[in-house]
Amino acid sequence: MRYKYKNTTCFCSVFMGMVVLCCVGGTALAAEDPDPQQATGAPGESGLEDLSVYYETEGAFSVGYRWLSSADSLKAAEYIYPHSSATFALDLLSCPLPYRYHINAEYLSSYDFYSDAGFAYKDLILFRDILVGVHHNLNHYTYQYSGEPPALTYTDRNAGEKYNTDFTSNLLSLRLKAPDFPFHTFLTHRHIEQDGMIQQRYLLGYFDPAYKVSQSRDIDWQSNAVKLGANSHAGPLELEYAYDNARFKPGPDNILYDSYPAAGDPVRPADIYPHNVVPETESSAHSVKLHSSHTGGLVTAATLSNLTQKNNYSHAESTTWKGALDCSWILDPAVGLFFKYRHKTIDMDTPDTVTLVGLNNTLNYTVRQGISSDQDVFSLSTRYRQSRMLSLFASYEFSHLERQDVEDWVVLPERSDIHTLNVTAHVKPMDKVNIKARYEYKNYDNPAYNISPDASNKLLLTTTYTPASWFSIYLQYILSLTERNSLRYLNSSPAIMLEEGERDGRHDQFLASLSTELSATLNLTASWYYQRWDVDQDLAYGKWQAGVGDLPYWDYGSSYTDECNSFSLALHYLPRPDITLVAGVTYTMIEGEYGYEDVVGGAPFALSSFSALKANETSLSLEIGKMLSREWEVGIKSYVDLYNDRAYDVLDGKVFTTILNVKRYF
Amino acid sequence: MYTTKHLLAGKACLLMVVVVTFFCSCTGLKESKPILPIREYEKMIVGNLYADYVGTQNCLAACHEHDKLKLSFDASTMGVQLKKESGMPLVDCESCHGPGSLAIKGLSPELVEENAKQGIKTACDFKSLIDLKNLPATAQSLICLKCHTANATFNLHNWNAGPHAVNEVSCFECHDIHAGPDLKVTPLASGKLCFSCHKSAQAQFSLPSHHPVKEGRVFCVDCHSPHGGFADQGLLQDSVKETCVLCHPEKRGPFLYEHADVTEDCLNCHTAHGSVNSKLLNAREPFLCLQCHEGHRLNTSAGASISADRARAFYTRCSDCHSTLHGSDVPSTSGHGRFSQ
Repeated sequence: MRYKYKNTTCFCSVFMGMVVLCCVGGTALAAEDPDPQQATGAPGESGLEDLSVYYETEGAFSVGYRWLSSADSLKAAEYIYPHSSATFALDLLSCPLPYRYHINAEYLSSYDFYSDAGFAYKDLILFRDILVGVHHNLNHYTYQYSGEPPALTYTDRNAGEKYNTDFTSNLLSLRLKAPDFPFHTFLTHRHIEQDGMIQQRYLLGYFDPAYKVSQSRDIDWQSNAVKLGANSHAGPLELEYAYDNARFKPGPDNILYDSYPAAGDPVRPADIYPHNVVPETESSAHSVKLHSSHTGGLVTAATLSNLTQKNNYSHAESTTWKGALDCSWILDPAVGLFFKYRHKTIDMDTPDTVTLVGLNNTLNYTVRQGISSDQDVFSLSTRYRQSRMLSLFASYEFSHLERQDVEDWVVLPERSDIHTLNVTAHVKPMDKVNIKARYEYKNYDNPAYNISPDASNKLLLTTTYTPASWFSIYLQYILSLTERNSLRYLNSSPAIMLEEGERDGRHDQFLASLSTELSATLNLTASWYYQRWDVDQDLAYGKWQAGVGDLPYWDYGSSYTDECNSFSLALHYLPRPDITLVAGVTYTMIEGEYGYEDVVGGAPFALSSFSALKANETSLSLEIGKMLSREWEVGIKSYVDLYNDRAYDVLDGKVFTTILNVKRYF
Repeated sequence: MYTTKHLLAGKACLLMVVVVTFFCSCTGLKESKPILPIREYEKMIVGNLYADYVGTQNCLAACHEHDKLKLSFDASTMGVQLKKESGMPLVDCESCHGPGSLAIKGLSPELVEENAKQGIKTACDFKSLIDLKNLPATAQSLICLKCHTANATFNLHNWNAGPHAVNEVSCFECHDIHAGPDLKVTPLASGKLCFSCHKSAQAQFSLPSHHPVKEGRVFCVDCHSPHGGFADQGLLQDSVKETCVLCHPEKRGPFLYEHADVTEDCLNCHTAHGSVNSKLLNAREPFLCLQCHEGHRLNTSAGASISADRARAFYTRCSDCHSTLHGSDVPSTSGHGRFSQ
């Protein structure tokens, strides 16, 4: 396991910079400290504004220590750095006008932190930096199968290794406004870094032999994206231009090499070849936005942008043109019309051939052209607000997609259209009840993929009932039904398209939430979330027939189900004015089934056993704070998560953390 | 690749921009007045026509009820605009609440002070001000848009035809300008704010596979722009993929071997909030893949069933072998882009 953190400098520099700025601001504040009474409320001369404003710096600083213990799999601690660590937090708001500073920072470990820091001078210079670090514990998929050596083998070169990544994101933004003219310039910079060790799974060979390999892979990925732009307004029109540039650097270990066995059709000699390449990529974009004033009855907004993307390893390129037009027309307070148009042209430019360079062999392969496309989407919506009790919405959307160069892509249609009709009603039959009902119908013409239906129906019902100020109920039910005839599969050998089979899908989702304010000091919220995803689909498998090749075998009506029930209870209680208690418990049950027929007859296995799902997860949290004085507070925050993998036991695990901290308000 | 058509379109757009800017002189900019919408809305948001503007100081000088609010406002970025010399549109209490002369009619600091000495709280006639809370959502937003139609980030560019505006969600639902001097909605606070309406999304983040939103390390605003945008669902970027690759840049591409155009929409295989399946997948492997792809051979050349071990190799996780399915630059052993190398 390897932990390193390159952005410590970045985090510390931002943090220290803000502290210095605060100190400078605080010094300035002390030097200019006016008489608060005069500043905050004394009557000024008629017609003149008194701008000598004094706002006392406020915030809190806390230090603490987090104890952590975990057992077995870290699935229960997916986003928790699994070691004890010192912690601190800082919240600060200081306004030594005309300067303003703010910091909200939380540091749980070198790999788990959040900081939002800002600086403003009047309303002319606005700076903000949001820094986030999160540790992600990853599964180690098991390779402990016997296989059928030598034709089929499993090799885990790093069995027992624990995988994780440390993700860091830093978003910096700076806005400069001309003081006496409506002109703004802005700069944003987004830095993303992912560092750690992941499990790299891959296949050496083809079907016979097939060597399935797992090994550890160091990653050190960095992405930097800069956006520069300016905008201004000219009377009722406003205009913005922006330029984006992004570059992804995959680090030093971006190409893996391994010994591949010889293959027959097509012939490939045994050799050491590259695999699982993570390429360096870059992109740039220009965008122009123009809109009329948003305060008119008729408002329009137009966007035109061009995005160029490039892969520096394979030299694949793409150019995307995007156009958008939004129009809203408020005829009167009761009626509104909204029109949207979106256009997107993707022009893929991939090399016609690729050369695979092995240690001793060089092989050339032809490459089929990537898919270029043109897409247009029109939508028209209307809103009718009959009264405070009733609002009606209706919308129609038409999407038209045309693909180019799809001759080699066999199953893909050249054209796919989608018609969407949506009707929504917001009803408030009485002050205490809010109801929202929505129905959406979609019709697909030439759907490209089997997961796209021919038609879908979706119903949403939401109700909020508040019989008393201390009690409210929220109910939501969503039902989605999809149906598809004539599925498209590509048969492997011979490579022909099969158009057969059906698919029906049903998605149910229900949420019930009850909130009560049992007393002025006690709030309780209980909720139940349920979702179920059912699919019945005819699946195609290859079935060898001597002298003919693979003929499709249809497993008709194969069923797939996912189901989840999640119960949660949250409590906020102030037993005494100086004690705060926050507690929560969530219990989640998940289960999935995969129906399968014995398509060959006498098969010594059930496919469903390879992808079963059954698990429970319980998480409990408890937070207690005790004010010792107006300035000092002590607190304890505990969290427990128990994950029970009832299907395979491999993800079983538990984690327990406790943070004890002392907070000083200022 | 750029084509002549694209270049012409770009040039035409730039020309249009230059012409528009030329005809709207800078003087006109500074003198431009808020363009109010239709008359009915104008009546709602302008305030009492028989009242006069008296200035914040005259309105609040005698009444200390709002001292905290005024202090917060003065210390905010908008507080700068209380001064004419700021060069920006003037903002004060009456900018939103309407003219206040009727509200303080007959009141004076002396009277308020005298009443206070007798323990009497002197109330102004606040009903003569704009009834902000009971305005239709569109009118509430127009109160803000009077000034914020232009802003430094252009984040309201797609507001008017965006999902919140169309569904009568006003600025007031998310922005409380009297909450304190810091008017921003912080990323941490955005989650709580969004979940107050989008409760199902909150529940989905409690599923076993989820983005770390409840952990406070990913925020709703990392993916969504509540002000609307180019794409549906108020996405921050112009498409699902462009939004996802902000944090997952290794999947940006383009690749030599693309997974057709499936990967243009990551939601074909993944769900964004939470899933019962690992890696936020819509369905477990191999069913996820079998929905669109024919499964590998299930029988031997002699016609019998393949062995259990071979079936396990084919039908446990397709991604064990097809490990570059987001796009690959290396041909597979078959010589095609099978995403296995």
